[in-house]
Amino acid sequence: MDVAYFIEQLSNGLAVGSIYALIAIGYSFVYSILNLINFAHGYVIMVGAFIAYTLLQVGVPPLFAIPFACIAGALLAVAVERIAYRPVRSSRRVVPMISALGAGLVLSSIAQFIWGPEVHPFPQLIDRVPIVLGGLAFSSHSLLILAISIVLVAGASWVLHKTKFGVAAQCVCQDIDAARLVGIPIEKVILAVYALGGFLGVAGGVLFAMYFNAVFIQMGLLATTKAWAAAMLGGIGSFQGAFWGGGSCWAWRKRPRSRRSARPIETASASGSSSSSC
Amino acid sequence: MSDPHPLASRVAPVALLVLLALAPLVLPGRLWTHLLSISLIFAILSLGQNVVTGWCGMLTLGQAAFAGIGAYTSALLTMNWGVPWLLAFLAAGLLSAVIGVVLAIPCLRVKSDFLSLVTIAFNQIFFMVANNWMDVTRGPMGLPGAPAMSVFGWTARSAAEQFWLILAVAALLYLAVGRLTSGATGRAWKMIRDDETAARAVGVSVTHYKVLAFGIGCMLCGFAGSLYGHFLRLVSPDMFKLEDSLLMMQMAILGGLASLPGSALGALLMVLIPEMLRSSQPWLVTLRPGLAGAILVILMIWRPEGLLGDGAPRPLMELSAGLRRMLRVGCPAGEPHP
Repeated sequence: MDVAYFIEQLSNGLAVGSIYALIAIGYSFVYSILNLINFAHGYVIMVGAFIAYTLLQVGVPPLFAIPFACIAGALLAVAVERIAYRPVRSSRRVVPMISALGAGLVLSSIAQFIWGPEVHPFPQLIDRVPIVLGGLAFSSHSLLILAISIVLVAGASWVLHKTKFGVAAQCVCQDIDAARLVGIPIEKVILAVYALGGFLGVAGGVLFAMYFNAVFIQMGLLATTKAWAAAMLGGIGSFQGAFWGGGSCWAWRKRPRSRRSARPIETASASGSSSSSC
Repeated sequence: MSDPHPLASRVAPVALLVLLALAPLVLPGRLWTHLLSISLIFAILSLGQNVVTGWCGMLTLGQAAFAGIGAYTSALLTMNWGVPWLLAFLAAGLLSAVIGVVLAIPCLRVKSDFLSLVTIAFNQIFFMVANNWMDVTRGPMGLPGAPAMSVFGWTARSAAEQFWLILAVAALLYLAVGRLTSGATGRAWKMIRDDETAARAVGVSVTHYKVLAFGIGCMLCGFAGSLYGHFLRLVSPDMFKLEDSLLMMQMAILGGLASLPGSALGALLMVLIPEMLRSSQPWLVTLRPGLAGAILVILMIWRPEGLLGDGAPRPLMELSAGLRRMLRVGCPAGEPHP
């Protein structure tokens, strides 16, 4: 196995891993603020991907369809929060999670009613051709996914670290009561966090559908398990951690079998500590 | 904890048991007996779920996998090695409990929030193993022809006999769990559920009780799995998917968390209602998971104790207590209001 093959496979692995990273961000954030595993997130992503699929079928150009689907995902995430989580936020720990599951099942049933249980082929947004860079052949899909997710993660990271809202979100992550005391509007921050998670998640879902050429009801659950593995690996509540966790998970799976991956894997304690900075 | 209705609590279960025992003799046709047997098996599954989620407050979503472990263990022992069913049944429960505890110990020792994810993942792992381990489980073809249940030489062959055996097992398990939950163990579980820090502060060994709860929950599911496999005479991987775990959770929550009659009621409702809907409205069958999900959300917002759970208002009981007070008959001593 030569280095060229290794790098090509690594790029594929990183591309798919970054999809899971985008999805994991939504879970990681919500858990670090509210100690709630947002089971409905996977289903919101699935519905968003289906909305993108429907828009593309009807003929809307991708540059409009996909951002629209992402915004729809954000709105749906906020709606789920309003209806299913807000009324039970002060209850015992297990109650909001059950509510989340219920909301997820409702979304799953509605999606199945509208779009049916079979696997639909997702339209190819660009041709799947090898692109040669410096003597190495990369898949066009991998490069596109990597490019989009790097832009999105960088954008979200900028929002988180450079804007007033982002710093407020970090405060809420660290200590919700202290944030309330200094006058941060907690409800607005929480809504915005859900919306951001939904937006990025649907972006990840659309990229997932494009890469695997399929959109189906169970894709939410499929992506959920892998996204949670990524979130755990990178450390719950750690923004960059979710990204690296996703990349390493998939890169590990795609490694050439006769040689170990030289990529260091970031591990963080998975015992649920939520005190790492966002 | 004082029981405000001691006579009712003792008479009601016995009366119910007698009524159920007579059921196969009065019900028309074997279908109803079959449905009641399935309801009883699911009542055991729902009880297992309730022990972990209702009494101990941990969300677990993989109980179908433990039922599957029980079913496969029992079927393989009886079919390949001729082990008598009773022993296979006990082994099924034991193996499920051991696997469950080994799986969950790392999670239960720290915050058990992630138990839900661990059990979801285990459910998928179990399904894949059962579907692909052709040498042992015969994959998707399953294990047909599991022998009929037999106890000390007596074999349950007819629908009524199988119903009575399942009823006896269910009654014994409910009795055992009832003794556990009304004693110190139940109180410790409830304390852990309500406030873990306070429980630790008064010296309750939280890890020990969490492991106990999860182990008992898995054991009950293993027992139920064994009953299920031998009742249907078939064990196959798609009897134990994630949707079935979710169904068990819905049963426990609808019927009432931390409640024995609640578990049984939830199981009965979630088995009978889809059966009745099946013939009339096909589109309802597709939407059933969504409707169940909507019910979950509504219950959590409006009445998280479910129908019969801890702290749920009991209109019939209050009505009878009010009547008794008016007639000054059988009024609980020293308690003007239940």
